[in-house]
Order: sequence, then structure tokens, then C-alpha cells
Amino acid sequence: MAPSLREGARVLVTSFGRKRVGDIIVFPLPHYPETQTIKRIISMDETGLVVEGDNLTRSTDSRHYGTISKDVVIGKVQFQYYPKFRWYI
Amino acid sequence: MKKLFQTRTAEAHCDIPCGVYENDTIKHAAETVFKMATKMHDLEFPGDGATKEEVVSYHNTMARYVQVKEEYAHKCKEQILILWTDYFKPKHLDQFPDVHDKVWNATKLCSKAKREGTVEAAKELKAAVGEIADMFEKAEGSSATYNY
Repeated sequence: MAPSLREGARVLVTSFGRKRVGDIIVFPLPHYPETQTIKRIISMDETGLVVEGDNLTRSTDSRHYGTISKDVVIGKVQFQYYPKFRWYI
Repeated sequence: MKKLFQTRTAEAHCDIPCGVYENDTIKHAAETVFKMATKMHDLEFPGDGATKEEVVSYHNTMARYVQVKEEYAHKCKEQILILWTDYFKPKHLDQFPDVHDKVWNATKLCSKAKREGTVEAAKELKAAVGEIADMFEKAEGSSATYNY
């Protein structure tokens, strides 16, 4: 998710709140559900969410595993509090 | 309360299992194929008056060269396909619109090197692999600013 989120960044994730395009969300990685992953919503429709990492050349995301279901989303990022407080990511 | 504010780790890094990509393997494999093809070509053919030992030795050595050539041509094809399917992303197509053709060509040449075993075929493979290795290096260079 570089450059928006750097390794080790801490963010507050909440399960409530409407998810919108542009939001960063946390969800179980398809095929590896024990791992949670964090990506940005690029588009959404009734079939699911298209997510991509901001670091496009390095990210594994909807371009590889397709859309993800809204039901599996753990929550959305509200703000970053470490290493720096930032409302807008 | 504790459950409400539990901390968990979310991965954002590249491929899971993490994909570390390089172009050394394909270059090394193509070079090995070329070297084996050259050795096969240079191996002296036992003449009419050759002893049984000389004939056996010739076939044994040739078989070993062929075996290594086959192994590395296969490895080369496998690694090229890994770069193509896992490393190169749609974004790279803007920079390298001919990546599909080059991969197609190079992997076909892996088969040709297996089938024909000539120095010429191995040379063609080396050249094609070199082009893919160059593309990889350029792609890596252009994404370097976003590295973790």
C-alpha cells in the first residue's frame, strides 16, 4: 500500500460505516483466509468490490484474485495513528 | 472492551507467498543451454576404428550434455512463464507492449533448443532471454521508488 501506508503503520479499523470507493479496507486474503490484507476499493457493484493496492506494480489484488464479496470485509480504515497521525490516507 | 480494540496485523505486501522476482535464473539457464549445445557440437565423434570404451564414453558424455541441456531449457521456460504470469502486471504493458510476443517467442525457443540441440537454436534462445531480462530490469528500475 506504499506510498499511502508504510510497513508497520498502525491504523484504526472499524466494522461500521458505509464503504465507499477510495476507502481502505481490511479483509481475509482470498485463498489464504488466515491472512488479513489491506487494500483500497477501486470500484464496487452488486457483485462485489474491486480492490487494488496503491503500489500497483507490487500489489497482488483484484487484478489477480478478482472481486471480493462485501460480506467478508472486516472493516474500513478510519485513520492512521502511527508513525504519524493522519486523517486522510 | 479488549475485544473491541484488539490489534491485528494486515498484510499489504506483494504476493503471498511473497514473490521475489529476479532475472538471474533465466539468464543462467539460457547460458547453460548454450554451453551444453556448444559442448555437444564439439564432442569428438569416435571414428570407425574406435574401441568399445571410446564409443561408450562418447554416448555417455553426449547423454550427460543432453540431459543438462534439457533440464535447463525446461527451467528457463518455467522461469520465463513465472515472470510473465506473476511479475509483469497490466501496467507494464504500457511500457512493454510486446511483452506477450517476446515471452511467446522465448518459450518457443526453449522448446526449439530442446528439440534441435544446435548451437544456433541456443544462441537464439540466449538473445530472446536477454530481451526479457532487460524488460525485467527496466520494469524494476521504474518501480524502484515505490519499494517497501
